[in-house]
Formats: sequence, structure tokens, C-alpha cells
Amino acid sequence: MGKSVGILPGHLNLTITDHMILGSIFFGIAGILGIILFVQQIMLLVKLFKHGGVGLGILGLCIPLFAFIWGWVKAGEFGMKKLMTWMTIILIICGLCYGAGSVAFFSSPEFQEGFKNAQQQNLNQGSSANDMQKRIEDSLKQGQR
Amino acid sequence: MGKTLWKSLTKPWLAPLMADVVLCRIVVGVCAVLGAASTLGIPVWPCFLNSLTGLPCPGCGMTRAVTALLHGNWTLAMTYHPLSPGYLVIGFLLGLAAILPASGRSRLVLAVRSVERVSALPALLVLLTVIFGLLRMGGACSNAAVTKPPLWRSWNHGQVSGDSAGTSQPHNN
Repeated sequence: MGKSVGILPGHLNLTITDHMILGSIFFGIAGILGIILFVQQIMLLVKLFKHGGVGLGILGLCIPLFAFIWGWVKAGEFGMKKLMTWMTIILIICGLCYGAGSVAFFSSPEFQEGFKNAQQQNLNQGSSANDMQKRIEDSLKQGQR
Repeated sequence: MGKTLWKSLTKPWLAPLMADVVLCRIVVGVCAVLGAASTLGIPVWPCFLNSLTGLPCPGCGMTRAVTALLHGNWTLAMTYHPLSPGYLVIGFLLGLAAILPASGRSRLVLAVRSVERVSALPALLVLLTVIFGLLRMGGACSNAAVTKPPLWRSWNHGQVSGDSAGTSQPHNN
């Protein structure tokens, strides 16, 4: 077993191995629910293509949030209440499991240090999106002058 | 076969969407919330595909591009998403349909429907979005300003290359 590290809320004394097991369990549940969600999304997209046409179908494919909203608005009309209810429940549980997994997995000091270094490295290399945006905006400002 | 496919691909979708008041108002409301959050720098609805894989989805950068357009920054908007002006027009039309009274809305819907039947512009816009999205995913178009490699990948890259602190060169898209 790994060495004891101050973790999760702080008063628990979990080892790095405990962190990884907990995180893996939550991520595993989130992954299984994600697969179910993916199948449900396909079922919803089939309905969207069938009743809304190709244009709306492609829009739903590009923007899943739109498909979700359309599904709820048309749930009564096209008999999708059960599908949408289950989809929403699974989406919420999946999100919670993903969040819990992230907390469990990445709250260990080793992971945090690694992330901090990776973030710092991104900033140093100038490859992060924020840095890129800043550079573009600066060059635009210079061009306007 | 080809004609049928083309007909179904270019079938009007914007006018029916504008005619559905409830759907139209909810979509406009959600877009307004997302736009406001983007302006404030709050990631309300992060792209799951990008978060997990680092790949940009066809709609990645659209909210930021439209926000940049609303600020009059065309060059920045083009960097984020070159099709954003089309979606800004669609958003404007949906917004109008959401707030106009019934008579004004039906006139607007009729006008949009006739334009859609003649030009099929909204259908072409979504098709172009998918094509652009696939090209960007394949690396044929630059996406440096839109996405960044997920942190887990950078960290993992550091671990694999023997740098335990994760300070090696991160994988860049």
C-alpha cells in the first residue's frame, strides 16, 4: 500500500492507493452510465432526424444540448417522456459520479503536483488556449494602432 | 436517389423551429445564458468531447466566436469559428421569433421559409459545420485557439516519458 497522505476533505487518512480505487470505482460507474447515455442520445437523434428533418438532426448531432431541449419540448408529442426522464436521471447521476471520481482521483497531492506542473508547462510553452487568445488580441490591438 | 438525398438534406428546418414558439423561446433563453456565461468567463456547458479527448467538436468555439462578433472583433471570431456569422444571423432570427407577437412572427416565419426553400442556406450552414468540424478534428484546420490538450493527457505524458513531475512537453493538438 502507498504512503499515507492528507487527502479528500482532510480529516480522512486515505492512501494514494485508496484514492485510485475510489476514483476508479466512480469513473467506472460514470463510464457505464455514459455508454447508456450515448445509446439514449442515439435513440433521441433518430427521433430528431425522423420528426424534425435532416437539418435539425444534424444540428442536434453538433449540439447535443439542442437535442436534449428538443426531446423535452416534444416529449409528450412523440411519446418520449420515459426516454427523456431516464436520460435526465442518468445524466445527473453520471455527472455526480464523474465529479466524485475527479475529487477522489485527483485530490491526492501527487496528482495535484503533476497537474500544477503540467499547467505551468502549458503556460511556459504558450500553448494554452488563454495564452493563445491573449496573443491574438494583443496582435489585433497592435494592428488597430 | 441523389435527388431524394439532396432534397432531404436541404429540407427547411429554421422556419419550423421559429414557428414552434415554446422550443424557440427555450433555445434562445439557453443561448442567452450560455452567451452571458461565456462573456463572464464561466464555463457552464464545457464540451464533453474536448474535455475527454482534446479533440474539437464541430461546435467548439462557437459561443466564444459569437461573443467576439457581438464585440465587433471579426478577426478573433474567425479564429474561433469561421461559420459563426451564419449562426449569429440564425440566433438573431430565433430571438426575433421568440419576442415578436403572433402576427409578426408568422410573417417572419413565412419570409424565412421562402428564403429557405429557394436557397437552402440554413441547411447548407449545418452541413458546412459538420464538414468543417471533421476537417478540424482531422487536423486539416488549425484549432490552437479553440481547444487545449486535456490536463490529464499532459500529466500522463509527463509520467510516461519518465518525468514524474509531468514537466515534459505536453501533447499539443
